Amino acid sequence: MKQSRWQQATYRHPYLFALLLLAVAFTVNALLQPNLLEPTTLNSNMRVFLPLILVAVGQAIVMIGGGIDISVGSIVSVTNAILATQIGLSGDLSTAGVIMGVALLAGMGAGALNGLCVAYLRLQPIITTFATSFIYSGLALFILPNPGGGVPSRLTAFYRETIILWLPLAFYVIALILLIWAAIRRTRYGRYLYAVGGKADAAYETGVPVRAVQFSTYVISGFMAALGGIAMTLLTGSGNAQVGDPLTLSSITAAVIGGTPLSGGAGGVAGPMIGAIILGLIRNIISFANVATWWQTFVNAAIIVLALATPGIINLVRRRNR
Amino acid sequence: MPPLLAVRNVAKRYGAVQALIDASLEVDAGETLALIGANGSGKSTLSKVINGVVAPERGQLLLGGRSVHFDSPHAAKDAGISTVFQELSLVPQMTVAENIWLTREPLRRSGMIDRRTERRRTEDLLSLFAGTLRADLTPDTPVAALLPDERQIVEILKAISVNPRLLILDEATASLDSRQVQRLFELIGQWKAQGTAIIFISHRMAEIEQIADRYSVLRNGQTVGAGSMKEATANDLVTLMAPETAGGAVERRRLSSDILATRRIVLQIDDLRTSVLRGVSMQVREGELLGIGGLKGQGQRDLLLAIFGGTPWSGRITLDGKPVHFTHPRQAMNHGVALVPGDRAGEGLLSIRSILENLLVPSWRNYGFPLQMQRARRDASAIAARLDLKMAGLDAPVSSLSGGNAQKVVIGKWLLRNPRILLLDDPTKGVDIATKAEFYRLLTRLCEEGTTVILYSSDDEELIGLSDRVIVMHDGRISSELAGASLTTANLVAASLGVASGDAP
Amino acid sequence: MNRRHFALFAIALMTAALIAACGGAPTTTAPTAAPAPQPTTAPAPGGRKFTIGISNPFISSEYRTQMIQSLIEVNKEYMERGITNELVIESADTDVAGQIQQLQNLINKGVDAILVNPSDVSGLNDTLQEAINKGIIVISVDQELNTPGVYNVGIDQKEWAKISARWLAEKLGGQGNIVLIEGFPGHPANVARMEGVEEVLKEYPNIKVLGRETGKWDEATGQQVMSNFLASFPNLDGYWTQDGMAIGAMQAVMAANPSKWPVLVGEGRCQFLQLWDQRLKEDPNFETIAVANPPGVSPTGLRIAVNMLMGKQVDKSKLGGANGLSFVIPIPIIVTKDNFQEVFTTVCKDKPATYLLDGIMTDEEVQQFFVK
Repeated sequence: MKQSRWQQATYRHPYLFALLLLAVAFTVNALLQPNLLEPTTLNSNMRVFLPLILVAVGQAIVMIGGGIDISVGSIVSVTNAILATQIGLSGDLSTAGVIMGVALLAGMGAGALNGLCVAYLRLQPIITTFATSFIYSGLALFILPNPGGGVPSRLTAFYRETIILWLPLAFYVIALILLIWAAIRRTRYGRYLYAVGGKADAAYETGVPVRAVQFSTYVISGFMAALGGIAMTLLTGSGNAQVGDPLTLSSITAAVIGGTPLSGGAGGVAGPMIGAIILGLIRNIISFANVATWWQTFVNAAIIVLALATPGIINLVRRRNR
Repeated sequence: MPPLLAVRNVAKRYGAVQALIDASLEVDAGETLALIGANGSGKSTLSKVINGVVAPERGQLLLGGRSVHFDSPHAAKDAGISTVFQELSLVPQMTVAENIWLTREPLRRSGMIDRRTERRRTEDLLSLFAGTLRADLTPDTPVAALLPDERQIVEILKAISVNPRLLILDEATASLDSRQVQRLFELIGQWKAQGTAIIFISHRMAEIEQIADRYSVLRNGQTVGAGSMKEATANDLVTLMAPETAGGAVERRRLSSDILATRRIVLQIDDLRTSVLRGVSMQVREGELLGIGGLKGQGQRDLLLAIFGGTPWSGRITLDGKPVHFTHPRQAMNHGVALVPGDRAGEGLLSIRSILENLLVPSWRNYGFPLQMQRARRDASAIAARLDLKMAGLDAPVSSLSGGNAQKVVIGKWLLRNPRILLLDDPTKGVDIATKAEFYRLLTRLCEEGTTVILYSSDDEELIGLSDRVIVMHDGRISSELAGASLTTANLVAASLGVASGDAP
Repeated sequence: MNRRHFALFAIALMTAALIAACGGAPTTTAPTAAPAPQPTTAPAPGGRKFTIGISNPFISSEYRTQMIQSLIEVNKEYMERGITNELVIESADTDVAGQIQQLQNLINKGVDAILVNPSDVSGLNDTLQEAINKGIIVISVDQELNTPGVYNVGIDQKEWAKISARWLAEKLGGQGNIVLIEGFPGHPANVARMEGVEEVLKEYPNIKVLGRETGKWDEATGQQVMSNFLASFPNLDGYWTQDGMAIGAMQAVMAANPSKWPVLVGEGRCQFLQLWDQRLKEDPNFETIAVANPPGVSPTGLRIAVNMLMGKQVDKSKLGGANGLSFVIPIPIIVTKDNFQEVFTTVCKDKPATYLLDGIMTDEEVQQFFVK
């Protein structure tokens, strides 16, 4: 039962493996693409990764609480549809702010519906959020049936081109999230989150408000998905009711690579953010390694599977070794 | 002045089982009450009534003379009643400190958790058991990395951290080693001095004698005695728990040791060790019915599993004079060893499938490819007749059978393979008396036909009535062996509790 | 401990091997941000060699496969002449953000021109603008973009649809009951095509449209929709449909085999010509029309890009489209009863059934778009 040092370290810092992987991916990428470290290149990469980073944070919080959220991609699409239709290409900045607030509330509302079904009606999270995802993507199509609309270029320019002290905007967003997360981890809510995901029965016996905590994770996830939707809209500058769909599975992949197990009660948000960056870097590596066209999808998937399987392989080898 | 807690005439029923009929107890501040009773006497149910996990149907709880109702463990905790659960209430992914202070974390004025204070308080608590814990156990160690005894201690510390008025220790010493138990008893002494009341539930008579001020004995859901420990001997308590009863439903003529000695040794075990067993040696003869007794979880199940190849073991097992080492149940089955699991519904039967299919599950491969259905049906019918199975037909689903007949199917499916050694894991748990009687007749007949039966049962009467010989297990070892005249209920209970036996009249 | 480190090392090694095995030697073209002179081995006729990048966000369709294959072939022609380097192809199933990353990587690799088949009509605007600002020539193929500075190369979707619609109307003698099976409603190409169909039908007031439904550009869906139509309107005189769905629709008619077949419209794919041939054996008077929607517009776009890179001046008067930057490519093949035998026996002879009738303009032919 005695733990190895590696186990102890990964327990304390669940993102450790992801960080290692990031170092490898980043090194390989930088070798293939020497200008990766230039602020503009870094910025152009990070602004593409940011929507997934934000969505993965929400997903990770749900997963820590012992659930899963299949509807995050659809919530991103709804947000995108709201922004593209309500702000418009020539909208002014103050309405844009109001509409963004509305979009965030909509995301939280969608999360609240998920939370209601899972925490209070006790429905299976994976089925429930899969089902609600159709409600949300249907809503997105209703708001924006045909691709179009958009947000003013001043807004997209701010998102795309803001670099402060050599660091892209995305870094400050990430830093802010880490700061807030560090604070949450030091509150009772943070403890409850892990207790509920770890062993809900024990948490209930001890007096933790299990349902309220489960409910809250979905609201947070809806909020983060809406934030991701805003980032996505500022990246593309236009509306498309299906823009968020691929983010759902990527967010789960990112969370798992980032050391958040599907079984709940462990992990954090730093790992999933790193996981999202890794997924993006892998695409870069494939691009810059000049992988033959017909192999690109295969190699991309193979590297992801390898990244997911590595902790398992390490454990297997360790067990054999014993 | 009223006692701190008084329980009066409490009754509780779980489905068909009347767990408590009329239970009462009183405990004062600053004293330790031992709640004792044999297996299934209702101790755990009574403690769950007190700590709010279950609601009683009748009776009342008086706390400091005032009637109270707890609708949740939380309500009981708010009233100052804290329990060390048998089933652990710790979150494995969280650290020791996080678990102990969950929902009661010390906060700073900013609302953030004051981790330094939390850590210090945890260290203070851990220091209570200093010397009996490994040195690198800190407040930051995750519970998943702890050994069972360490988890139990954390559980105790969690319960005591609320400064309870009443502390219930339900089998809290079961996984502790002797030094840890001694430390716990020293601490109980201190807590008593501070005015805490303690209800101590244990199967270990020696511990009860050492720590308890008073006792309260439960038998079949009824409080049958209470008093001061000073005025009672261990044997008094045993007699209260298990008075000598007159046979009951079980009727089987025991084989005398003289007759047994003439029989061939079928199974010989020398120094068998597993993660639970700590050196078990025994012999079983042809046609013998060997009972295994003792408190729950002393290694009985592991012994059966090891013989069956279901758990890794070391030592020596000799079957018909040949050493064997089964690593998979299939090998055991091929050598004529069968294990009938205790959990009939969960492990033994596919309840929606037909009786025929259930009977044939272990034997399909004897019927070739494609399956020779006529032969299979013939064999199954023969077994059904031999078991006197009352059924609508072989194609009826098992779920249509009564509990006793379903239990027969579980055994019948192994009989089809003609086992020479039948291992039974608490087979009559939750079975009604009529069925039990029928089941006992079946076992009797099997033994007469030369089958060797090893029976583990939590029902002491059943062991006494059926077995030629009973080995009593304690802590992974055989603590004593009862046969002939010494095979009585009182001796069995005494041996189970670790009380020296022999002076019963 | 050692074993564990070994496992990590092995995994890293495997990853590297995987990339190397599939990608050959890493980066033969040195990636640089600025459009600085490319490292060249031998000076090309026009000075230095050009690098052209492709961004394709959708795979697993014959159209896209054929498009990528013919791009590689046409580029080979220019490589042999020492004008271009190997194509840089970014092709994978991905979303808008993924295509933005594809484009950014192409920009980072310092390509001279980008051919993009866009997944979104406006979501790429800002990224494409950045490429243009860096002096990269951007050509959108297959899908017209209304982005300043972005050239478009493609067929005129509206005209394309009008050809078969007009054929249908005349074949019906200007009167009868028909149904329409369209692609994704709201997709720009579908919108343009259906506008064309409506314009034609306006000229024939005696043709009544009984129903209009989407077949989602999918063969199976097309078949299902047509079956429903046939069941609801047994006396259907004709139907109009387009790419991908025409095969399914005709199979539905074959399965129902009504006493009087509706006049039907086909698609420019060898598989459809096979059905046509099959039908001819039963009914020698059968006729239909198949208008090619050529994946070859992309390699044609490549030729235009190369010529622009070589410094040739685009003749703006020859361009059309919403932003006046569209190269409109003529429809390469229209199959009717007159040329059916010839096309079926020559073009489709050694091609798989999935082959799309195609046409790539030659280097000489694209000269018509440039100032002489």
